[in-house]
Amino acid sequence: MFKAVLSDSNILKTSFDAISSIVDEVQMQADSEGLRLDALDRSHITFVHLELKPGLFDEFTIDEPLKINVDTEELMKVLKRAKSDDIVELSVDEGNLIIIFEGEARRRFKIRLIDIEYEAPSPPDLEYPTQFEVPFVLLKNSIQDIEIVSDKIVLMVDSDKFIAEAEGEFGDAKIEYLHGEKIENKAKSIFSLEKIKEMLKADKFSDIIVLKLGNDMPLNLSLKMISDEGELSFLLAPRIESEE
Amino acid sequence: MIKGKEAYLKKLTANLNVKSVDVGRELDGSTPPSIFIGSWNYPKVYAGPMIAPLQGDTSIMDMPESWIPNQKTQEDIIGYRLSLVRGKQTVGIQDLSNSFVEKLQEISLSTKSIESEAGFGSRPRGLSFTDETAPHGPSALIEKFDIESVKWDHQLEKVYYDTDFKAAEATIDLHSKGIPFSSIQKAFSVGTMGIERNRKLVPTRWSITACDTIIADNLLKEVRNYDILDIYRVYEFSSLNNYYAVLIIPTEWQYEWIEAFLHVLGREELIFADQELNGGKKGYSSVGGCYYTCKMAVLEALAREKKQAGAIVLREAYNGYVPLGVFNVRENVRSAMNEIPVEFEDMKTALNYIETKLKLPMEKFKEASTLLQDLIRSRQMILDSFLKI
Repeated sequence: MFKAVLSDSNILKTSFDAISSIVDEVQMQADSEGLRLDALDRSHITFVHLELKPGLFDEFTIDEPLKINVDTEELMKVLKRAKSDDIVELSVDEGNLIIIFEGEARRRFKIRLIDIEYEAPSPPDLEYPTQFEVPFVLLKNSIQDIEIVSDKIVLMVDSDKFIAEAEGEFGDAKIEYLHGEKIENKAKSIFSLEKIKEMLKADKFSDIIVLKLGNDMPLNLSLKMISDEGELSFLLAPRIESEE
Repeated sequence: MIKGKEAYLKKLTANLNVKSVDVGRELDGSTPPSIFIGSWNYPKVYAGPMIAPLQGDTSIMDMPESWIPNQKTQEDIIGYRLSLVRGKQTVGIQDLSNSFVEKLQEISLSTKSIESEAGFGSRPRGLSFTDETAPHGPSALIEKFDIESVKWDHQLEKVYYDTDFKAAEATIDLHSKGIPFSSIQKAFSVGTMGIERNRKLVPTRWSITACDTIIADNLLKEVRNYDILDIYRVYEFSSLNNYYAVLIIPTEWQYEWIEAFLHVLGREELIFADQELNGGKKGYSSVGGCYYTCKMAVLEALAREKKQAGAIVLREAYNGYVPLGVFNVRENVRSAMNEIPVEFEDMKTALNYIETKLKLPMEKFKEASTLLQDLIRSRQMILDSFLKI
């Protein structure tokens, strides 16, 4: 028996907006600790982690741990139908994930669970020289600024500023932000803009992004709810400039 | 100074010294089967059959799929095409119940060449070479047109009667059943597929790119689910004064087309390129229909092998090259992908190998490229490389 009721339908919708553009199949794990998901995209460039703790739900009942394997595109098609004031109810029944939207009407969808051989990947455990917060909107806008000139983005941080910049064939762009945090090191890595855009599709999860940046290291981008009961985080492998 | 590829190709064909077939106002011949829908004056377009002044089986004249695999020469191909006399009438693209259009639909569904009789308003004249569609011979307004009874292709007929089957889905379905591209494209062009109220005539050149795009997009959806190849490969093919090298790279799907026209007209060396990253392309390609047809041919091979990879396609066209339509690219790339590839451990050695086959230095291709340059300048790491730290 598994039943999870969530009064804010945006949480799932916005999470899977990003997740479905990164991975096509996923395994969710439900147990007494909540709902969790770890996935690595097929090209091993992006890792995504979603965790929704029981306290986030209006109701969360589960009697034994459960693995829910779904096609993310199919799941997203259904989640897109959620209205923002709908209450979402999740359950599992005979090989189907049942999603009910409770609003003006009660709308019930069934999504077939799929057979996948899935070993939940574990992300590399990395130590970062820097960690800081930026407003979600700031990073999203920076990406849109950079997109005008290039499809790669350089992210840098030093003791004063967080800098996003790019050099393109026809021009350059640079965005500087005073982060106001205590950072002792400098760090710089380059990333694919397209990949960062996929992650930032989750624009309703949190207003604040926690970034961890190193030198030629993966980007650790984490969206945490203020209540600490939900987290959506990503790890993105960098691009490295060739020596020649 | 020649600006843009389209203008350049126009210039290439402007002064071709070739002759098309000579026919009178009455023509008793055979249609391969073949039809042509122009794009001029859209949505009131010139539509009509193409007929050769011959009897019997003329199917090869409108079957580009068979030319390159059967080693037809450029002269053979131009000979076929310039023997095709194009009859035309002005038709509104939605006017499918017109008995002339119904005959064109029958032609497009036929399994074999059809004996035809045509009467023209004047003696057919001229010839046509364009950048994207295959050439054809003289044309004239057609006043009288009769065809013998036609045996329909079973698959095309099924799609014709299924008036709830979307044109895009029908295109994918026919392609997966092995129906030749040129047959699918003709059916698409003459409005014998799709949801009934949406059916219409589609100009030949647009229908080619539409079919290539529909098939490629569908193949890409499939290929995205496959594991990524773990090696660099080079597939090659040469024909009709062209050399093609397809560099397959062990990354998720991304694609670049880079073509060089070398001394075709005089002493010019022109390079055109276009590319897409994993997210795909917005807007119409600056290099035209060949971008989509090459993409389709590469994805066809990846889907067959059930592998995902990126592709950088390099093409050189040499003196003697004549634009024959995008089929030329499609069939050359298909032929390349059917060859046994040479495999490499890294990008550098693969590019060094290709350079030995090119007339132009690789540096020129790099300068003109976006994606290739990006791949050389910086490398997308994978998360696995950070596990060991």
